[in-house]
Amino acid sequence: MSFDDLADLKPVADAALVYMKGIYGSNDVRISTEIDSTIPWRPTIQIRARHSIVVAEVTDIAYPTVILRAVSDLKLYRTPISAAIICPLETYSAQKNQVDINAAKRDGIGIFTVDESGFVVLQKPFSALVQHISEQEIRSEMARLELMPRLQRSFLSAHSTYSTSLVPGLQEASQIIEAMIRLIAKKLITPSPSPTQALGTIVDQLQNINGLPAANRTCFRDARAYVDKYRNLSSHPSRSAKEAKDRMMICRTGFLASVHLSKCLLDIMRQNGISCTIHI
Amino acid sequence: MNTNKNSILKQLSPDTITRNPDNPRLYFRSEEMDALLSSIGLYGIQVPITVYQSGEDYVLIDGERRWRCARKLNLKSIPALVQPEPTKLNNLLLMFNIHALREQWDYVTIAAKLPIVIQLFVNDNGKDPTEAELSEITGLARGQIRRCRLLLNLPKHYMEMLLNELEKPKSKQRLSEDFFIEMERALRAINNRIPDAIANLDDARSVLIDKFLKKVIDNATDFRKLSKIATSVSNLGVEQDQAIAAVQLVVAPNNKIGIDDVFAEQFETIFDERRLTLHIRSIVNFLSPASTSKNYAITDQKLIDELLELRDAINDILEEL
Repeated sequence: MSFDDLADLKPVADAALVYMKGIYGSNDVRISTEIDSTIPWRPTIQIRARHSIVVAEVTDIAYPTVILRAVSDLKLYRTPISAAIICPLETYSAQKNQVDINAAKRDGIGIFTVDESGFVVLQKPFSALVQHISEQEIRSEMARLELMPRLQRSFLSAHSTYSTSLVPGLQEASQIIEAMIRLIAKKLITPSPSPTQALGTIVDQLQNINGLPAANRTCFRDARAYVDKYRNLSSHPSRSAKEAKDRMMICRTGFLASVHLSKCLLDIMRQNGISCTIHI
Repeated sequence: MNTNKNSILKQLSPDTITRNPDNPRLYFRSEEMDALLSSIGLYGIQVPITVYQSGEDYVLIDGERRWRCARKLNLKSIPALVQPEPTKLNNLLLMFNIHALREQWDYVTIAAKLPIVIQLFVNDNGKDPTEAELSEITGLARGQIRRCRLLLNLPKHYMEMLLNELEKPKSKQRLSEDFFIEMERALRAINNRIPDAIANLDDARSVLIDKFLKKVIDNATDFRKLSKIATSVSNLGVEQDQAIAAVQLVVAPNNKIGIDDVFAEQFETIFDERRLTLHIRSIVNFLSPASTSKNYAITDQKLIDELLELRDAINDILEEL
């Protein structure tokens, strides 16, 4: 594998390739090869894993046009693709490049830097583009829903995990939902469910409470559907590459569903004088 | 666009094309490539690249940057003019004529291939090309050829230093080709005119580079003043010892004396006087027909006023002597 075309960026590419192989595996590594004929970009490095593809461009441009142009095609691709920029530390640190670097981050592009001694740092974690949720998007969604600050902080923490790793990020968000449901159940169900009782069963009990306002019943119905689909996503290993890929492909919807569901759960808590003391 | 009556326009896959091994271009600056890529992404390749066929594949003659962008953008096919395979010398000369004139190659890029062109010319013609012939076949101006030759003669480690600089974006280059060319010109002038001034050219280069990096020497064009100091001995009658001492001050490692300091202090007046002399000689020559011709009289009052003012200024200066 050679990066001879890269001239002065060759040492950057060499160091990054070793680093990336260590993280993403080295079974199927491709250099300057197309991802698919439909995608207008041949990334410098492409690593094909079991159920996803990681691609990276070695460059000294803060946000190269070729990635910018390819982002929408990458999102539409059948296999989840994560994309990153690999640049010299000098490029990343240059003040004039910050606007472009922030734009790359917003679009879900990861950033690796390589210093003069070949030391690689993942400056901006990244995950599959199709499932990318920018911090800006999550913040504005939470503000629109008027979530309480404590809840916002919890979801931002989950989002931080999500930005690096989709399924664990979603798992963290679903733990917030679980904590809220258990707090509600503790107040509304008698006797209180035990901490080990299955979440699905608890939600079923909540749905069956007599005299429940229609909006609350709808909320619990949504919660039941959410628990079925997302709660145990990362609890068991995927049985096949297809299943792993399918799990990844629902993470964005699942994460945003957590945020939306928390709003109606919060309303129920307020109606019933339950304090939202979650510790996630 | 490079056209040839035997050219055939085809749509070719970029993967069937290889770069021309004789293309001496070493650097493709990222920002320029990114701008071109953006344009090709939007509008496609409007101007066909030029290739020749070699077996099943094609070899680039013109359009390496477009071809690289096409590959990066994963284009399936690009327009290409397919020409007959050129001879080795013609291939190299095509590179010069197509690229060097249009895309402002780095001089070091041209310099790297110039010896090969000269050797191939010798093989074909049995003699070294004159500078004029070299200029004609490569399309380079004679001045450009001379600048290339200055770089070619740089010692290896300075050439490496320059190559390292050229890898950086233009805005970050401190030791440019121009710097080395100007410095080498000045050192050559010194070596030709006052060879006793510098005992070791390499030591002098090191000091000059160091002073330039530390901004003791502000500008690469300051080296022209160093050349002036060297030529002042034969051109202006400056004492050789004075010129040698001045040069030695500049190339001494243990001071912060730049070229401009020495020139301003010791030589600027001499050169100003020389320039003034030439101006006065020119004015005298111009005025002579007017003063000697019986049929000519100056009537323009403004000119008369200027002449009177000039006369007064001259009288003032002469009275002080």
